[in-house]
Amino acid sequence: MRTMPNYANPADFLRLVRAAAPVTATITAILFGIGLYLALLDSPPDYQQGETVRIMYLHVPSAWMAMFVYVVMSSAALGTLVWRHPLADATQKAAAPLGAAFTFLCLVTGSLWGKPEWGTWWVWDARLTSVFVLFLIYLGIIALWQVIEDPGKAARLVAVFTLVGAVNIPIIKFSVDWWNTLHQSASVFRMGGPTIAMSMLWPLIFMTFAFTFLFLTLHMLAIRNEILRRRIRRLSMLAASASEAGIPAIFAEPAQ
Amino acid sequence: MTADPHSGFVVAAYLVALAVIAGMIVATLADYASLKKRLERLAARTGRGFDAGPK
Amino acid sequence: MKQSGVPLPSALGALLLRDLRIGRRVGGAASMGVLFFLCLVAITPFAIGPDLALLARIGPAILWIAALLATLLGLDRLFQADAEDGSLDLFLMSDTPLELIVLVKCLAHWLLTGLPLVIASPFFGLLLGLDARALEGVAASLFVGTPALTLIGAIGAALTVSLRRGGLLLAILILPLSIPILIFGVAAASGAMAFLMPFLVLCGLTLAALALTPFAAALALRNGLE
Repeated sequence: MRTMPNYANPADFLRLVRAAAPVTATITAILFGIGLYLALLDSPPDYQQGETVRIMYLHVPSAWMAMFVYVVMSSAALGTLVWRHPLADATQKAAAPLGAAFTFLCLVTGSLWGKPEWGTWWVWDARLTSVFVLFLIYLGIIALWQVIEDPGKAARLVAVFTLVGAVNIPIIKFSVDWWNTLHQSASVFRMGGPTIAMSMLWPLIFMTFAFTFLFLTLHMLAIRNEILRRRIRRLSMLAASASEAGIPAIFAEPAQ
Repeated sequence: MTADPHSGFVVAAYLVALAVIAGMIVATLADYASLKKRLERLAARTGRGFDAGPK
Repeated sequence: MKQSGVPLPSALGALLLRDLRIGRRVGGAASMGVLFFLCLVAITPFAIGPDLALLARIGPAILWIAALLATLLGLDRLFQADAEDGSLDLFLMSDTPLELIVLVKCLAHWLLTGLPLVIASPFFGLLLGLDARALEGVAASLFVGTPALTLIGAIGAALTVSLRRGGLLLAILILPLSIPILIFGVAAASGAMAFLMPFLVLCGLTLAALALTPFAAALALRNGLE
């Protein structure tokens, strides 16, 4: 009955990565090529913001990735807690630094966009502030990964925290929005959603897909790294227990 | 693009993005290389150990 | 299910009494939290200047941040002490649901650290030149909000229970999650808008924390101790 390879099996997954990674990497490169051409050369400057609008083609896709990666991580967290599957653990762990990097990029580009638009490097604008809190949560997750030795236990504990964060993030978003209206920031920057010009929409779409495929490629490669890391851990523990059990010296590494 | 007084910010933003993305790619690949080397060394060691065939 | 002779309420009651007794004896958690709170309130004027008008304006915010930090203070020991002397293993094996045990431990912690802060806050508010209306607001919002801080902190305490130095990590994990409580707590306390709306949202947040925390913390404890 099982004619399809089972990609939940780490060995099959490694084979999948070997086949798929070059393909997605090529797609990523093509999308970036088109996206950057449209964003930098083929789209007009905004009539109000001038050239700075080009930062949007980095800022919006990375904001999207910041949320998308968290969704991926939360789904993997469910997989860890419900099925206790090692691949779900690896998926979770590999996503966290990538998500943090995209969130960081979103904050930095937002700041670089804010300086010419608002006159300061940082504004406690509702959207920026929520992303900032998301960044802190990502850093907390990475810190939790680093301090717990046993990978299975770390995965389950991080999964609990990730899901608690997933419940909390909409609440944080809502309260930060409310807080912002309360304090009425001087210049609320609006990005007109549907009124955006077509000439700006296309580069935005291509850049968003480019970022998504970049993440998919790097995520696959990072999951492969985690699988290898676990394998090394298992092998070295086996080797250590074998040498402790009094295996004759020829089994140990030969002294040169 | 040079006519705009703020084009420096655009260039800076794209440079930062380049640095972050390149950093992610390099970190992932370097991690893979070092893991693979460690795995091969470990496999060679235990493999020789369990074959028990002294060359 | 009910094989043991001890009925559920009395088992939980015994746990509550035990935690309160330990808390009172070991280091006097209640007085320590209030003392820390007082120190934080006392150093603020040195950082900002003795301008009473300014202090009165930001007073509710100072009291709330001080309460947040004082609540975090003893939280890392919430489950750790039980893990060290083995009582946590007994909790895990007992008939009493772990979720209820978590709730009772949170209640004990709040009675020892949260409630004294609430009682002390009007007096400390006087030091910062708050008027009567603001004093009431601070006390009421702290009374409703500090349980939520304890509950969310309990999740962090459960996650870091097996770590030798979990205190700092606990704060890193918990502080971002407590931002909504801080926002609505300070809003209710300072009365920048009507008091009632943020106060009701704060009540809602506390109830939500009450509903969700026991499950998250119990899940973390079960997974953290294998």
